Amino acid sequence: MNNIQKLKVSFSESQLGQATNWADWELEDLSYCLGFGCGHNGGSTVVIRDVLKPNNSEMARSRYFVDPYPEFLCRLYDKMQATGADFLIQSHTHPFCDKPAFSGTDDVSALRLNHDLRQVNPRAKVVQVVYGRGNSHFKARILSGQNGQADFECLEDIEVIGPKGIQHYGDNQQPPDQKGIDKAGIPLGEERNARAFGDIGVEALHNLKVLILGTGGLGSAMAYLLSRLGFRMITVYDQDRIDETNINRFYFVSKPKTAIGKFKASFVAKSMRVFNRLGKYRPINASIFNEHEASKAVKNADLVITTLDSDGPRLVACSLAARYGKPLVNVSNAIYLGKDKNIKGAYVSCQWFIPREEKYPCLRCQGALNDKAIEKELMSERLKEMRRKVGYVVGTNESPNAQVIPINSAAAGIAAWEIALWATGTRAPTPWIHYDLMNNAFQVLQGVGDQNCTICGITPASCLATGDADLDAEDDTLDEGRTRAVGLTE
Amino acid sequence: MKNVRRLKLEICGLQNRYGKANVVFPSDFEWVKLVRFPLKPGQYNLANCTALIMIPPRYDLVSIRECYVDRDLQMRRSFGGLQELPHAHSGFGYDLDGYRWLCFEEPQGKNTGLIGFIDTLRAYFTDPHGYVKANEG
Repeated sequence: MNNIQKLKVSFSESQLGQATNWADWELEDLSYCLGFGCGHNGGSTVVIRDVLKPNNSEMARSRYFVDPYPEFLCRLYDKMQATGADFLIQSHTHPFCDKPAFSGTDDVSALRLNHDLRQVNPRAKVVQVVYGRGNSHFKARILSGQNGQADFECLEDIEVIGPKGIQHYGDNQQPPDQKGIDKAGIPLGEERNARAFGDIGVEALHNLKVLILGTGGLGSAMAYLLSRLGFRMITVYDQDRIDETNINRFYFVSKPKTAIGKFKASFVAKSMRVFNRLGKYRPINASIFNEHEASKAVKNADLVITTLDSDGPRLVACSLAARYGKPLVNVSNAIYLGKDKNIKGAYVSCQWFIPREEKYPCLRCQGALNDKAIEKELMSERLKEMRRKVGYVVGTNESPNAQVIPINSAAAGIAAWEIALWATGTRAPTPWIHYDLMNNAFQVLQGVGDQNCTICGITPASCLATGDADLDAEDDTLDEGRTRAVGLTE
Repeated sequence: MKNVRRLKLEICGLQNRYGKANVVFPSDFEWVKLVRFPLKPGQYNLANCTALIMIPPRYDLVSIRECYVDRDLQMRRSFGGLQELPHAHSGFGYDLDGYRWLCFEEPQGKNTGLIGFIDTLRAYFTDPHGYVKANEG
């Protein structure tokens, strides 16, 4: 029971808007959200996936009472079963008071919901939220049944992620960001930042947990700019070591001979700490294909930045961000050479994927990834070898692309600015900035999400906001066809 | 990590289509085996075959491309005798377990998941040479 005392619920802005868009404040109103749990810093986070709201013909309502009809509940339970969701958040209003509290009727309703839900999914838990007049205050609690008993616990935090940044709401509280800011906490070195973003903005930069996937030329530039902007919690993730070809593009390197051979992530994290001793900069020397490390890193971050140089790992990062509902910024650049080996094109790109927000679809839906390259990069080594033997694959590795430091710096500069604006809540990020450096042309692009996308679409098969649910592959419903892998190991 | 959610839904679909006993899989969903997969009557030396489909570690970010069938499965010639299946290779993967690799994939650029792959496999078995010819290059 202790592990659910730290429960946090993570909404997207549009989901929270949908869930709390009450028809009027004359009568009580109701909405339901389906979510998945994921372990997070020793506690647990519920990532909201779907919002269902009964219309007027699907519930009985008065000023002091609201109850959905069985038809709506059947639809709700069907949806829960189809998606396998393990949390149900029931929100309702108390239009007769500003500071709401749970009533006896609410207790009965929650217990009944908990009982019904256990018939659909025995692991499912109910969270109940009540809003006071005008959504000014709310009260939340989680119903946790143990061995047939039911008791109530307080919800710690509601997190809202969206184009306006990340906001936190405690139980019956205003966002904590707007309460006391430690004025003395802003160092003199960040005084100019504070003039641009304000004290609250600088505090938001201090507290945002950033994960940089890929710490090459571009990743080190991002780390350099973000640490100087005042981001104090950065995790850098890369499996490679610095070699001689990296040195001319690698930020932080002052003595090349000592840098060569060191892990990129460790080197960057250590260099950031030298500049900002207040920062918690952490390296992870692992591959993005290391499922355990990569999913743990994404789960613990507030924002994921990818500076990876190929589409396969980008797609993997995208699916992890979708799974845990984390915003992702893909920063990339490219130089194209013609047949005469002269530069034909040079581009910088900064794309945002904010899961559960329609305007910011995944990188695949934005058309930014090459499917053929992905198939090649993510193919298993065994299959690659087999295909090579029968002559379907020629060659082994592609030669590395052209890379120069000014283009890395341009990409990192654009991305760091967009990230700072988003993190401080100054403005919503531009979904896709494309900068053509040969023709000095900026373009703002907008991708369209596919409803059936298995990353960002709302289909039962999609991995969007499913948290850790799929990590446990065991499922009782499929037992009859299961067997042991006897005689099938190579 | 695999999209286990999608796999479970697709396996349910296959169990409805081919029967629960004919769809076999381990708890880590590394592969899915279709037992008694029906073949066109009279076209093959066997009435049905076993299809072993390997699920890629990052399914469904990538499509399914690895499939094995019974090593003994052969096509009947129009004028008698048997011939090998096109794009079937012995000496790879699960050869010792009685399978051979069918180097076969969905048409370029498609990723229709497990159900789509099985549908394509059915199309292949309807006319193997015709399928290969139509999808060459």
